[in-house]
Amino acid sequence: MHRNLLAGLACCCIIVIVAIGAVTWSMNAEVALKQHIFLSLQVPLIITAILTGAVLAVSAGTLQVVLRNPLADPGIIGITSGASLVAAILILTAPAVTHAWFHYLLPLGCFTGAIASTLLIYRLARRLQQASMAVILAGIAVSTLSGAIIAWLYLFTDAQAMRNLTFWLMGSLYQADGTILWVAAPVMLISCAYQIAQARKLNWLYAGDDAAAAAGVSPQQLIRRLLLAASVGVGAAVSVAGSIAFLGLLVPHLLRLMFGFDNRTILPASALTGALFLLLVALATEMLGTVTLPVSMITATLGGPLLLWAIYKGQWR
Amino acid sequence: MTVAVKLDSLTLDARLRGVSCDCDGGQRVHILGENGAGKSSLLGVIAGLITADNGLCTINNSPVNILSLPELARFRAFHAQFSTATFALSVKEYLHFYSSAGLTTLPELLEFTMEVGHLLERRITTLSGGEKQRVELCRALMQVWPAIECGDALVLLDEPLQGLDIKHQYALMALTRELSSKGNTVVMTSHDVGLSANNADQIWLLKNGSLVANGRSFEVVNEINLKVTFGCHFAVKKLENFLQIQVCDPIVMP
Repeated sequence: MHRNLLAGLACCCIIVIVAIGAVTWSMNAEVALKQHIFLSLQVPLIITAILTGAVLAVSAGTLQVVLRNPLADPGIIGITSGASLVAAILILTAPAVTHAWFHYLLPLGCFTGAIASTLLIYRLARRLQQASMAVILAGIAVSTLSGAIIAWLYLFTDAQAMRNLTFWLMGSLYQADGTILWVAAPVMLISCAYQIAQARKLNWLYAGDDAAAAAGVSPQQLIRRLLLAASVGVGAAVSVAGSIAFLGLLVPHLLRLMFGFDNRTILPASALTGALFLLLVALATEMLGTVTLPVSMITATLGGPLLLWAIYKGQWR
Repeated sequence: MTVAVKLDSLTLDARLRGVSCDCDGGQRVHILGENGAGKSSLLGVIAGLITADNGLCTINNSPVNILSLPELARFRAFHAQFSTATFALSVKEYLHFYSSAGLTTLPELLEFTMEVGHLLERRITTLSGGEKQRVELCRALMQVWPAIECGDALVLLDEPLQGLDIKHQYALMALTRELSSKGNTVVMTSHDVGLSANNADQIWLLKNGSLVANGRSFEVVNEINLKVTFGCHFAVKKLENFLQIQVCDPIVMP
């Protein structure tokens, strides 16, 4: 395992966390106010960035191996769309009577949406003998359908609700309600930890199901458990930060290009890199001060060129 | 302890129909038969990866289906006919992931016979069919290498000769001979009747899921059994310690 890599990434995360805190503590304001801002705004922001970035990147790394498709990303294969669809339905149509339980309803809805779309994609992929492109096609179908249903919902909502949903769907590290975060955070943490703990067995899937079974693990059982862990984690991430594009596709690809394919290194490094990426977005937003940047806008702006570079390097090596 | 295999009336839907045979530990068994005769299914049952509908497969008198996958993985190597390696990982990483002993270098015997040392830095997706087959064989064997060194392994190879050039076909035969001489049991499927007849301790001939004949290769490999198994004429000539086998007019064009 590249211990130095993991230690380096962890140090970078700590430096960025300190920098985010420094933005508040360098303000000209009362200590009590700064303390209040730090505890009630910045701590949830930091936790959201760390856990969301980690779970999205780790889940993508896992999904790519499990589905044997380097394009598998919670966003591309429709898991995020499934979670977003349920979240959109809840945000736009939940009756006032449910508002008291919305903190629990939203994560639960996102888990359900994520798991439902994962199962649909998994069953379709298995029916088509796990043809590599079948997963992507099934994901595109689920994403398109989710997008269409959300578009229909737009037609029947007022302008303010439409604006709220649009912003929510673009992803934001600031929208996490405290209670939602405390419900979703342990789920994301457990999802990440479970996937990282299965990294050695995940390595055995590289040569296919027969080789994994010969190496001593039931591939079907392993795949089902990992898909469940990834979709629950992604569902939780969507419930706290909305839809964040591209992060999952980008991070494991870059790391594999630089450090090889050992999931015992790639998964923990993905968790730290995903967390670092979103912490940097949080830092940028904190430094700008006046504008809350939609996360997907940043991840896609930075991620597009980086992924193109990764593909270029990958093809030439 | 060497690994003995016993099959008793194995049935698996339409693929296997009452197959009964056995082999002692340290033997080399070659399973021959037409496409779809049930060779891979039989190997899968012995490997504990497929559960037979009826009958019993025992390994050292223990039914294979009561052994867990991790227990089997300690002494049973399985090389599948097809691998689905789609990621561009290096050969070195690939072999390392499956090595139970965490070996980072190739065992000398494998390097001498399979010659994959110079491929270690290559990406698996850039290898030729034959090179990939040699890597896959090394991967399967490295999984149980500690057991192989003690002579306690059961090595199951599904069409390992596929894609290998003539030199490496004979190198593989030399490797299996070396493995069995240490006490390891080797069971493999093949389509090369001549190579199998001269390099196996036992031959199992399969036709439509049923056993046509089984036993020592010099006794089993004859014109009648081969005609029944493959549906074409063979000329079998017994020389001193060698069987010369030729196919005569295998296909009559309409």
